[in-house]
Amino acid sequence: MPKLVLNEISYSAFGKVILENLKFTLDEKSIGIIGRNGSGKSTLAKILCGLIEPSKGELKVHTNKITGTHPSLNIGIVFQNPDHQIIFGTVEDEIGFGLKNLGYSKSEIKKKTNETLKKFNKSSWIGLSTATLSQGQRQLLCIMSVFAMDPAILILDEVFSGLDLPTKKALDIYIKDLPQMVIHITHDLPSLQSCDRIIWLENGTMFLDGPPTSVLPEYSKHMHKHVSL
Amino acid sequence: MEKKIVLVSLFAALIAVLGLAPKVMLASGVPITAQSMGIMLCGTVLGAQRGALAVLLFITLTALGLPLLSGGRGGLGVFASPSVGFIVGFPLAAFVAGWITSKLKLINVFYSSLLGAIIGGILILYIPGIVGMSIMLDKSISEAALIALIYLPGDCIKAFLCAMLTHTLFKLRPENVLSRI
Amino acid sequence: MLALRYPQQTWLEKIPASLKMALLAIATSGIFFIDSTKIMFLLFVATISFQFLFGWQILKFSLGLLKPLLPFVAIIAFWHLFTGDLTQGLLIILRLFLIFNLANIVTCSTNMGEISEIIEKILSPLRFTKINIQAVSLCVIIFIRFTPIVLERHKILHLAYKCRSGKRPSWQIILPLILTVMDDADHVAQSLRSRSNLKV
Repeated sequence: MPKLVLNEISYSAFGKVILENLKFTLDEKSIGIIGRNGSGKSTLAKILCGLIEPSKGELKVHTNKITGTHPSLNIGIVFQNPDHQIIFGTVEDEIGFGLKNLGYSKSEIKKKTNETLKKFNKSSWIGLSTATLSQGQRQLLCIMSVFAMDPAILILDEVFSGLDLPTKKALDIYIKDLPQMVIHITHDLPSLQSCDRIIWLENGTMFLDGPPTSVLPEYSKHMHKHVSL
Repeated sequence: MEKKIVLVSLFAALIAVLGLAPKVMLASGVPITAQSMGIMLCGTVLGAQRGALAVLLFITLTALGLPLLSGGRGGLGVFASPSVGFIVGFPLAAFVAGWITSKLKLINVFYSSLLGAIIGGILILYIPGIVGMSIMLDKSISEAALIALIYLPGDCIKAFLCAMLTHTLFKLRPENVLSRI
Repeated sequence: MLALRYPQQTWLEKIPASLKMALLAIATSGIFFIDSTKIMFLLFVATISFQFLFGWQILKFSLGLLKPLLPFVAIIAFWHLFTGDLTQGLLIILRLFLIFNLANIVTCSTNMGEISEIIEKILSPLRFTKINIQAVSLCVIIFIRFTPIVLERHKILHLAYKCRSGKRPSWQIILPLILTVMDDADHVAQSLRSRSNLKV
């Protein structure tokens, strides 16, 4: 299992402290990160995959692939809004984009794209235009496009936003089936029940860290008590 | 690098959308579109090089046949119409507007972008514009210049709006106003 | 996003694009040497009849494309009425329509892919400058993908303004539109960066 070691990581921007002194090691297979809006979860996600440099502290990434570049193409991230991520007009072009950047040849790209679509049971999507997909389908396409790059770690940043319940449940089945280490940031607590570890961020610092059975109920209780904007 | 690519593409898309937005009627009865203001904004916000690239992207795709110019114009026809001089001059206008806005970093961004929008978006742009009109409408340069005066009041308002917008954008999203970086 | 094309297919599409563009360039330059209003009129009628051969729908479509010239027609008409030289005015107007129409015939009967190939060939000497070809093609792709999205945003802002003010907005929604474009740019750039390895 790959390992992410955070050593006193802090991040501030425009005079505001967003993350403060985060110190922990992530090496479980499925990790959930929860917290209120503005608690710094997305910023943490972007630091973990190398899109943002922390203001203080150090992040050490241990995977079985040696990657010297930042952001690491070995850590995939899927964001909240598929409209910000889908660049191409067809499903193959979209999945093929990351593969092209990894240096795959044209035939390898085609093979890998077909394999990925088959794994997710979407072989019928070959030739489809991305504009015809529903919101949930587009989010699945984003996950597939990143998954095709075989990242050692996959970070999902609130990918359930704006999706209806059946779509969320369907997407969740695919996510639970992913073979790599998955870090799932979400407000959808039921989907985190089967995680190995839950980290609760509050105001940029670690509030609670432990198995779902202890953290999730505490979190629900807390959220119900502190209703404010 | 990615930010620059995306900003150039999205600002080119912005020019297209500003052309598709409904026209505003000036008191003189001449409809003006926000599109040429989009050209000025590309310069004052993205700077000389990136602004010109965004505009170049826009007119290349228009030449390919996409109906991106206000009124749904597109294709090779726009280069065979009296506005050809203006269209060809657009990238140069954005470049000069951006160049002036970035060179005058020490002055408040409102004034530098106003100057950039006027010099780039009007003075520099009208030169190829008038030449183009004089050829297509078979008039002398001075006669074509007279005709071009119709656009002047609208363009002055646009230059002013462009400066206001650039100034506000610089306050709200300073890291995205590439001309001042 | 659709390019300007004829509503129906015609045999013009079989003619190679480079030939059409070459003919257009020659015709356009030649037309400038014609001095006689009568000949210009005959040529214009000839092109209209040519388009009529393809059917009423295509003719209507082509005539519709000529609308943007009307303001210039008005300017020329008034000008030459004032100077008393109506024949010259008519010549200019006919020439405008003729050239514009011919250019539109080429545009509407040519595949965008073919024209972009020609543009690529013309721009190929630029390959030796600093311009990053990969970046340019990404720009084109992102533009095509996001123009409808920015347009949709504009429509929504327009509606939101209208239903809270009772009036149609004009310049007031431009700032929010640009802000959403800039915020989107941040997200798209990050998403792009997480999947690509563009050489800076």
